[in-house]
Amino acid sequence: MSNAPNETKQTLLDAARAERQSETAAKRGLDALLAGAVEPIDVEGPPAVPEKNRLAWVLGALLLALLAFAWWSKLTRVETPAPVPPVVAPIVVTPPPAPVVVVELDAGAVELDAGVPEVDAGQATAPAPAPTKKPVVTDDDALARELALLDEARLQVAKAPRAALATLERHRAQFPRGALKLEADLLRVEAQLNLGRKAEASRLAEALKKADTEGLVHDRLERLFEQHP
Amino acid sequence: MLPIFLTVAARKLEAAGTPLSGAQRDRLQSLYALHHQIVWRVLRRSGLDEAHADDAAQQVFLVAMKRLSDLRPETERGFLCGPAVMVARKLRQTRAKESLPGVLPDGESRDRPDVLAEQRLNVAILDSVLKQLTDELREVFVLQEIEGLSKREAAMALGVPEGTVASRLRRARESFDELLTAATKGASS
Repeated sequence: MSNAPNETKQTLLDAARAERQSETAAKRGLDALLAGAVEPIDVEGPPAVPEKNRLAWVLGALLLALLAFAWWSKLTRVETPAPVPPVVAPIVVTPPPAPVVVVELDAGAVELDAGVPEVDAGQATAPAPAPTKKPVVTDDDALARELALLDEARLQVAKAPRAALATLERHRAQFPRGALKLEADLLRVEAQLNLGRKAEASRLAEALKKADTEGLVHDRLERLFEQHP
Repeated sequence: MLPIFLTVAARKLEAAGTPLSGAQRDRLQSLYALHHQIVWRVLRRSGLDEAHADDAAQQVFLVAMKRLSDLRPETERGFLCGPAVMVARKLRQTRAKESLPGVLPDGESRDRPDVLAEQRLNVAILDSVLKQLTDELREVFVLQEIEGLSKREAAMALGVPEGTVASRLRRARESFDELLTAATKGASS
């Protein structure tokens, strides 16, 4: 740390500040300058604009140029049309009729109950952003439709056995391996008997008995044939 | 403020030795009257004797003449101290420094010879201490500590950032105080 005598230091600095160029020398110098009599040496002065300010000017100019370029780019950019989402036609799925099916068996009526499957309907509005769901055919859905067909055939089998057979053919076409195929064949036997096609009904009944290893349809078939001697 | 192309053209004309217009002469005279003493003192503290400081001061204002068009009042002092420092450096390199005593100021020598003698002695002591500083430290010390330039003006004159000026000034003060203390002790013992 400094321990120089402050008074001495101040005296020296004041002496330096008080020093003056003589008036004669000063006037002589100015006259020489105005007369162009001073031979220059190679010395340049500092920049008139301080370095800090000059840097600010340069940075400002660069920023302006950048903004101008961004603005120009925005003006000249070709707008590409946004992709139009495909128009999806509304898909309407009609829910099946009431899923309550009553199947008459030999011991009485057996009530088969199946829940009504929920079917997702496709989005009806065209520009929907979400992908349109296709209706998914589930097992429950198929079972419901099988039941519907068999219920229709059952209502027809007594009074309109031909129509019942046609309905059963539709069932066979739509569900060749349906879960209710056995029930459909029983109704077919009954319809054929009602039409008087006993031989045809007997062949089908024999085939059913062979296939029914568990003996589920035997009693019912026998009762049907008893009703149509 | 003149546009850049006019400023450049004016500089070229001035550099080619075109005679100064009346306005330019007035401007130069005003500049000289305001700042020639500080320029001269900076030259003196830079190690030049009075005669060489007189000549060097003319060089400083010669540089200013070429830049009259873009000199602004608030930066004049800092600008003029720049070529003063550079001229002093150049003269120190190219001329042998004369140790002859300077010419006494005309108006004062007749009235207070005792005061001036003491002042001359103090200035000589100061210069002997300044002479021991490095050029970088001495220049910033002279500009700020003695002549009272702001940090910004000193930075402009020396062509360095203000932070550099501040750090140099701190080191210059420390060095000056140590040297002055040593000189005082040596003189008293």
